[in-house]
Amino acid sequence: MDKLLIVGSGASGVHFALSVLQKGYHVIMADVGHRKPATIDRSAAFDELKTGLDDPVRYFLGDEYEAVVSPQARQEYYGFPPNKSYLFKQPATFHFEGQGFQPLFSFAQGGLAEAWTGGVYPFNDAELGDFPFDYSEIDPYYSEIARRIGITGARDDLARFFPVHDNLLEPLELDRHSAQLLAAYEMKRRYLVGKLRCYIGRSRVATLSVDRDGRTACAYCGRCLWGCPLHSLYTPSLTLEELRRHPNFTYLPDTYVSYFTYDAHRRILSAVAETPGEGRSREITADRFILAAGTLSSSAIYLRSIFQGTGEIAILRGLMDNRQVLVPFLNLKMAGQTYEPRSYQYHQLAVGIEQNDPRKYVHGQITTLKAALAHPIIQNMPFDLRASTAVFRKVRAGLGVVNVNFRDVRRESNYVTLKTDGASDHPRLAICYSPPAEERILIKQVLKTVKRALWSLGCVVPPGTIHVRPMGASAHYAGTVPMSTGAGLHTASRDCGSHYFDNLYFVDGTTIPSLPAKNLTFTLMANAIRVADRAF
Amino acid sequence: MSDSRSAQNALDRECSVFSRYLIGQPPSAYVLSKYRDAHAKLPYLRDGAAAPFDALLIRLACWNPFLTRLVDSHARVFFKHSGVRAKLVVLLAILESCAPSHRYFDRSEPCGKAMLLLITLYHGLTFLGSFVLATIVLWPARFLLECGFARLWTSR
Ligand SMILES: Cc1cc2nc3c(=O)[nH]c(=O)nc-3n(C[C@H](O)[C@H](O)[C@H](O)COP(=O)(O)OP(=O)(O)OC[C@H]3O[C@@H](n4cnc5c(N)ncnc54)[C@H](O)[C@@H]3O)c2cc1C
Ligand code: SF4
Repeated sequence: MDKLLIVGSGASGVHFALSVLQKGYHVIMADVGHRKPATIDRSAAFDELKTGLDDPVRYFLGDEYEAVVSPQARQEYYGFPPNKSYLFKQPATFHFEGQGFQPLFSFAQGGLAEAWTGGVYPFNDAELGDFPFDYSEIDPYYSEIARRIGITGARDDLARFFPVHDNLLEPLELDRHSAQLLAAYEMKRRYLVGKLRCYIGRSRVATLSVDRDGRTACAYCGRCLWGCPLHSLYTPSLTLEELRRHPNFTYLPDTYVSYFTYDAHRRILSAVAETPGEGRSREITADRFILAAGTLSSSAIYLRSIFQGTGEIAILRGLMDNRQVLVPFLNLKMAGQTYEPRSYQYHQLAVGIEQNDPRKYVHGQITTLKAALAHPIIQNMPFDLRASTAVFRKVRAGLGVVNVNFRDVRRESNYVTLKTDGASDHPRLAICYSPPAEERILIKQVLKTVKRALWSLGCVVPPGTIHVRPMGASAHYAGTVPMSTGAGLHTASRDCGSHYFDNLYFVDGTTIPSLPAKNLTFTLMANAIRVADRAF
Repeated sequence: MSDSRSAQNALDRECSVFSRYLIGQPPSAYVLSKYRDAHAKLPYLRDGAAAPFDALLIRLACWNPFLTRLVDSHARVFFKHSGVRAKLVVLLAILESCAPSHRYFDRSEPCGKAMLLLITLYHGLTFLGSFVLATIVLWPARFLLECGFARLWTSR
């Protein structure tokens, strides 16, 4: 059987690999593959780490205090915890520049989803409108991914937006604040649904509510952001571990793939790779090549291959990402109560805002504040720090944030290409993005609805706290080589085979032809195994 | 006393005043060592006081917790990105991350809505009071510094 080379061990790559191994293929996975640090004290809850560790400040803030959100840095509300910094380390020869786009790249085992919040939502038929297949084709693959990774959710009001596939586990226990919000929604449902077209229900999360496959059900320890010590919250490195036990699987870590070599018929012969830090190149041969390095890195490898082979600098148009807007709120009914550090830390509720055109659906996730560092919030409260700290202690149990996501479509003005400095062997990836002209008006309208919905639930949005995240921050990148029924030069077939190269496939976000507001990774994983099933 | 020893003492004193201001408790030996370490590692803490008025704010703030409050109230409105706010936020982050000070952040008696309103009102009003007082004192000082007394001040 053919030998396959997969580039990347993220959510897309590992599930594609598992499916083709099951079909009997020999698989090589080339990956830069930075490794995560060892998990400390698996049984301790979030608050116990502060008392139990020898050097808790080092754990929470980092050796260089990099997790302190300083008033001078003007950064996002929250940074990544120090033990996740390995995820964003970049090889020395990798360079990029972003115009209107602040991308995140991961060169780690498991990729960006090692830091994800586990939101998994299937796209429905309207959202798959630009795809060359409909929901019925991808439904079995959603169900299979749900079986593999474990997804909890409920058949509630949001089922009108989130199709219900098989293998959905019972939802997690709600934290007190989320339960209160859901009860308030039931009371105000007529107004919220009838007037605002705003639906609230359980979010779908890749976190186990029961023990399964050697993983433990969520123990509500509050350490999600710092990395689940029990593997209840799914991350792709768990599947990578499983792959590495397979006899037909070869994992090549410390392998940075730069480009492919190919013959006159554009049949790829090898991947040219180097060990980061060493500079020496080597070639890895295979019969078929699969890009799963994340949309931006896969695009970079594809562009560099064309450049190395022809000297041409191609432009890949249609880059997409979800705009995210953070709407912090204070639930007056919960303020004054004690807060629960021992809870599931991420979102447990989702919100769907219906639009006349179902493709324009607006998606949100509601995260109530539980275990988290307090200083990023305290410094933004409207008093001096002493007063803010004192008030924060009292209102903490009532704080939360709605992360509102907007859809994106492919537009000519948004693209990735290469920039060379003449002599350099390593052209830079250049990313250019500008939002659509009507975005401001749309955000304003939607935020009005969100604020009215929150108000009806007994929550206020403190003035001046809404934060429009920069493009690139959501890390939902897609669309540079779209699946299409035509055979355009830089497009892919309905089974994600490149129209430019003969034996190249994309199984990450590169081929997604339009980007609904819902988080996309579930669809990336399902599509990857759809490709494995249909084209291999 | 060597320069480094006296710099260390100055940081310890600063940490002690700031900790009493923020959470009403003196810092533990561990917090003191982390505060020093943060100053060694974070350039924005070392260089934060480059501007004369920022230096004045820091000098005033480490006198005692009352003055820290005045300075912080003023900085909250007019100098959110000042060196003194950066120092206070870093200490806040250290205090909330370790025992026993984390308990001040993580544990709080529940209270009713009326009590919560009273507490917020009390803190809001004290903030307002210290802000007004600080502004009366600090605006003229800033004006003087900007009018050329900077050199005089920094050479002290
Ligand atoms: C904080 C955060 C929260 C998120 N939350 C959610 C969420 O709740 N729901 C959701 O759906 N999505 C979420 N996402 C997005 C999600 O992480 C991505 O969609 C997903 O990781 C994409 O997977 P991927 O396999 O396509 O690529 P990546 O995760 O980017 O993985 C790329 C892989 O390729 C390897 N690689 C890259 N370049 C090379 C090269 N040149 N040579 C060799 N190897 C290479 C890397 O080492 C890595 O293993 C979140 C992202 C972040 C950052
Ligand atoms: S998912 Fe979060 S709360 Fe649950 S066990 Fe893992 S870290 Fe703890």
